Amino acid sequence: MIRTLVLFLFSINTWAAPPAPTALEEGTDVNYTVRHFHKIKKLKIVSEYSQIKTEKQSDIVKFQTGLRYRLSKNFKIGAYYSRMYGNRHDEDWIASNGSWKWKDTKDRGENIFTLDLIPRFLLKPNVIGEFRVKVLHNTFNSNTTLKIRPSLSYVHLGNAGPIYTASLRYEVYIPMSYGDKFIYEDWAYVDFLYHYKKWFKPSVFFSVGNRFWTQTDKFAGAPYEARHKIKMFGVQLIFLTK
Amino acid sequence: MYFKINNGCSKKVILILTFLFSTQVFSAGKIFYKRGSLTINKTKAAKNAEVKAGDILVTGKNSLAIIELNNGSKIKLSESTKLKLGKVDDEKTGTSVGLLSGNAFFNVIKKKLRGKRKFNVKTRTVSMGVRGTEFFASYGKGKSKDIWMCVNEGKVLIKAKNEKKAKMVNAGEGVRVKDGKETSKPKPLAWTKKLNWEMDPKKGEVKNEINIEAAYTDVLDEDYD
Repeated sequence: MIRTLVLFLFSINTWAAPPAPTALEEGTDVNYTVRHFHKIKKLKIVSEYSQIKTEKQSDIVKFQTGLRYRLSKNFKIGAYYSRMYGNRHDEDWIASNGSWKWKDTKDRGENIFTLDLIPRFLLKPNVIGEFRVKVLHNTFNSNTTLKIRPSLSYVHLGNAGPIYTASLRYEVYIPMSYGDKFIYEDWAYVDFLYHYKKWFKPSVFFSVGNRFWTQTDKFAGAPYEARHKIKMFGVQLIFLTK
Repeated sequence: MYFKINNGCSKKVILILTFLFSTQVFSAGKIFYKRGSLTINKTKAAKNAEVKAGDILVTGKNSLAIIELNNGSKIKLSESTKLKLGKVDDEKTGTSVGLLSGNAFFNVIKKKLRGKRKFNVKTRTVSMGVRGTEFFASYGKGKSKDIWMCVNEGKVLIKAKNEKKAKMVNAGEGVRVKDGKETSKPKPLAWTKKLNWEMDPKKGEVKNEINIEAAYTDVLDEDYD
């Protein structure tokens, strides 16, 4: 009788609907970035290293390089290549040894190609409105994402040039080839950049974001939507050369 | 006037009278205020020194000078500025000033300009004509041939040498004459809001802290993310 009961309970466990990821990973992440711009007339060569130390998952590391070109007074375009480690996707929610968990991706490198269009307009003498549009393609899983980011920045000018820039930004990630939600991720940022020297500008930012996990085709259970709320503090060291 | 010429004392009187007459004829104004170093025709000058047509005034680093012309107008020279004083209140040409390098503030008293006489400020490539106004003119940064000009009160007509038509710049507006050749459209310039227009040291600080570098800030290019 007991044996039958145990077998019955075991079978229920095996054939029960697989669990969806829960919002267990709410936490505060810290982003460290070093970025360099080398300017040649209207062209900027961009290089970046960033690391996000997360509270609940492995670190996310990114190396990026690319070009940004000023088409006109108000428009810039960019093309970038990134190599990232520690990214997480919907399909990384996996069954392992009888339980469901997020796959450890810290050693998994992914190649991402990005194109962006950056229109910037002077709304008032020192206030800039920007509406950045990016398309990212990840060759690891062929995911293509559209990122739209409107922002407002105020540049405070001193006697010999800018002293600081304060910005408010909002960014949405729209999956073009994956996911079930229209907006997969969104972030609100506040950023403060100090124009310490012409060649060195440190900045800090704070952001809050939402990330939505949805099931992939390989998930045998019922469709789900799990929301992951994140806070992030960031420090960026920006260097410029000509 | 008739003087009986005798030897000794009379000759001295004639010399003194000749000297006084000559300075009165050619004197265009005086140094109203000075801080730091100032030369007039390469000779050190002090406060209240006379200035005359043709004089070349040069301020040193961290220096400034304010000239008061006989017609009541004032010119404030910033540091490292070279200015040539032309004729003042000439019957035909009015008052003429040449800005050779650096930057200066001009406060022109309209009612004291006799008749239809103008006040002209010139650089090598640009001419600015005023009829009672307060404006600022500057060479660009470094070895740039740019000329910047902004108006605080009144109006200024500005024209580069090779331009056919002059542009009117109104109060609150400024222009850049790129390479001394092409005048931009007059519009408010953010960096000019902090210019120090004060000409009277008794009323407050007269030194202008704004560096022409600020004029070259292209805020639309200040994107670092």
